[in-house]
Amino acid sequence: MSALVPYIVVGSGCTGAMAAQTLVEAGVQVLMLDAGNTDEIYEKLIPEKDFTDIRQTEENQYEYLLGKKFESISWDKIGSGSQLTPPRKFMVSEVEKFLEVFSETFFPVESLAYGGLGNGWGLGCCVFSDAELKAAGLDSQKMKSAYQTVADRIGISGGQDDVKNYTTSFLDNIMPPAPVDNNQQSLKNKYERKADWFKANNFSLGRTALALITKDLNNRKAYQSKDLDFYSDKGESAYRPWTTVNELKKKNNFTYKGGIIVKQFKESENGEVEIIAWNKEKNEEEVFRTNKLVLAPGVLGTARIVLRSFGKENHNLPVLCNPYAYFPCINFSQLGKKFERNTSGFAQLSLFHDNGMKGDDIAMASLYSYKSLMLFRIIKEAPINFRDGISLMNFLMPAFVIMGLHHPEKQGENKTLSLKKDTSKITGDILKAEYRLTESEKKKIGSRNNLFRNAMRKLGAFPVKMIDPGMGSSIHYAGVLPFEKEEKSFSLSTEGRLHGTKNIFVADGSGFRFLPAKGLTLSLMANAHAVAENILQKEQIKL
Amino acid sequence: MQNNKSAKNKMQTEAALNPEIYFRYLCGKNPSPKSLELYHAAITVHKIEFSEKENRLHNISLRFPFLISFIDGGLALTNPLSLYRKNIYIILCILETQPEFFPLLSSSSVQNKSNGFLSFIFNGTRAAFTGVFGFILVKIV
Repeated sequence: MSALVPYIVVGSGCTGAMAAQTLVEAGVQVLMLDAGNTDEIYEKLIPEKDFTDIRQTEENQYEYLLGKKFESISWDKIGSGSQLTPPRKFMVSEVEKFLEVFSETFFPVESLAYGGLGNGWGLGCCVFSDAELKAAGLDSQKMKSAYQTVADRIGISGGQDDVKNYTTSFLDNIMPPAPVDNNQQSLKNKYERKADWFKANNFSLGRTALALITKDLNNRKAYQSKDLDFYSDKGESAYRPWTTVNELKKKNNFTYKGGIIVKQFKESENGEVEIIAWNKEKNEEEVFRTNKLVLAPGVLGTARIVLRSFGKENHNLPVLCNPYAYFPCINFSQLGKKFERNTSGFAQLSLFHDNGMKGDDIAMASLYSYKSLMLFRIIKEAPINFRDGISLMNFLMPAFVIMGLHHPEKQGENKTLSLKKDTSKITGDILKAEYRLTESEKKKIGSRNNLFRNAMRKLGAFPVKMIDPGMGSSIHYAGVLPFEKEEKSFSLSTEGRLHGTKNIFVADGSGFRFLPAKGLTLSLMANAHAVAENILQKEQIKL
Repeated sequence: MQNNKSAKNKMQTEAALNPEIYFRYLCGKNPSPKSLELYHAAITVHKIEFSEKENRLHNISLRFPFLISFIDGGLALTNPLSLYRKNIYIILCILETQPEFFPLLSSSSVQNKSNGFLSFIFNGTRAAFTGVFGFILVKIV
């Protein structure tokens, strides 16, 4: 058994990294437990060139564009995580072994990577409105201050336009956005010409705020528009949680231990917490002890750990996930144009629909240009022969706008998780999930999809298809232990403490009672910082 | 049982031995040694085991290569995830990661907007025609 550690943080993703940073900066001793899978193959293979240069000159480009085991060649239908390129696949390695989910209706993506799902984060940053914060059960004042702290840590770029209110709103120190490509600029121009229609229909369009630095920040370099965003993090202009953890490793009061999968905890009467984990390198159980446990393994991971710890294997927990679909659109003004060399794989524009303009029912679409994910992926989706597909898609590709549309999500009866015994698994169980939208929810989503289709047509981009990868594909999960003011089992206090315990806190999105459609990660990180602050304040440790 | 297995292996071998016709179909050229090497490596990972019908379509393709686009187009409508198409798709993926084929598989191949538009209409019409004819062909075979 290990020595007693004052604070243990579980998970190195966006929330674990933020909570750990707050604790470490306050001077307390922190141990981070993490599965910690890393990419040992691809990052070093990718040369210091832009995407077009690589395509034109590199003989061995197939190694990272298709994968050494040709893992990018997928002959299945599009599902959750289909967009992961070979250099990002390490994010989901060993997930089937340790985090299997049994479901016919819910297909989540989880990670055991160093930096967690943050390795594949699309970097979209949005602050929640007061109404959204209230519905999620979050303290508005605390979150506003936490948002600023996180923004200063990670670096955010964004525009000063009609969507600022939905993205960076009150945040200071926002960097200017990266250059926009012609495809997206033409949409913005159309929006400005038809501003009255968009305003009358409660739509706003503007530059997406991204955790992407456009000026050097600490050791990170300003974004270079090399269009390798789906493949490489060279220069670290895109924020990834491991950036933070790498910095924390340099501090004396922080220790990182990888190769660990936390299974459950036990809290003794004096409040000391024992953590039972699986050491996957030694293939044996390992026990850790702490005064304060901060869980941040991701919402589904937290659900597993809490259900196991309370021995409630058949208990149903609620779960939230944003309904998501994407729509390939053709921007006719860009047909047949040559692609710009230096564009971006990240969303460049965001389109918000604020139903009733009260800030409590907002849907959000992110607009992407399509290039570095390669032609073969879209040719496969066309119902024509491959040879003609090549010439047709060559012509269409510079005009492609991919709209990824997220809908807000509320709790519901048929949105649940439970743990089932399965002795064939190392953890001894498997997570069972059910996620069914009601007919009225489906109807509402359908009509809102139509509103967005119409808005895209007004921008000159015509949707040609809707691709629904299924529930779970938004990779936004929350609400398994909803915030409650009263002590109630399987819920969190507003400070993030797990009810029924003294010293166990949850820093991921498990407490959110409502899931806004806006990019979730900035809010998750702000909440993680706020939870860590709450712990320190209770301990009367000065920040 | 064993006979079935060996028949399947035979079908896979046949697919593996004749990628040249599909390379020529997609890019009008014989594959380079590097492309062939990658193709063989790829199909050891992504096994191609043709069904009887796919094997018949493959044999027709060997004898009459000009029918490949029709078979491909017909299957795109009737059975888009067929292994016959998967075999071609693997070749497409390999071609797209060969510098030699960058001009073919990037928007840089579009010369100008009006020519591109005419070519788009022509190719679109041809794709529709091959789809309809191919639909009938794969139903008959």
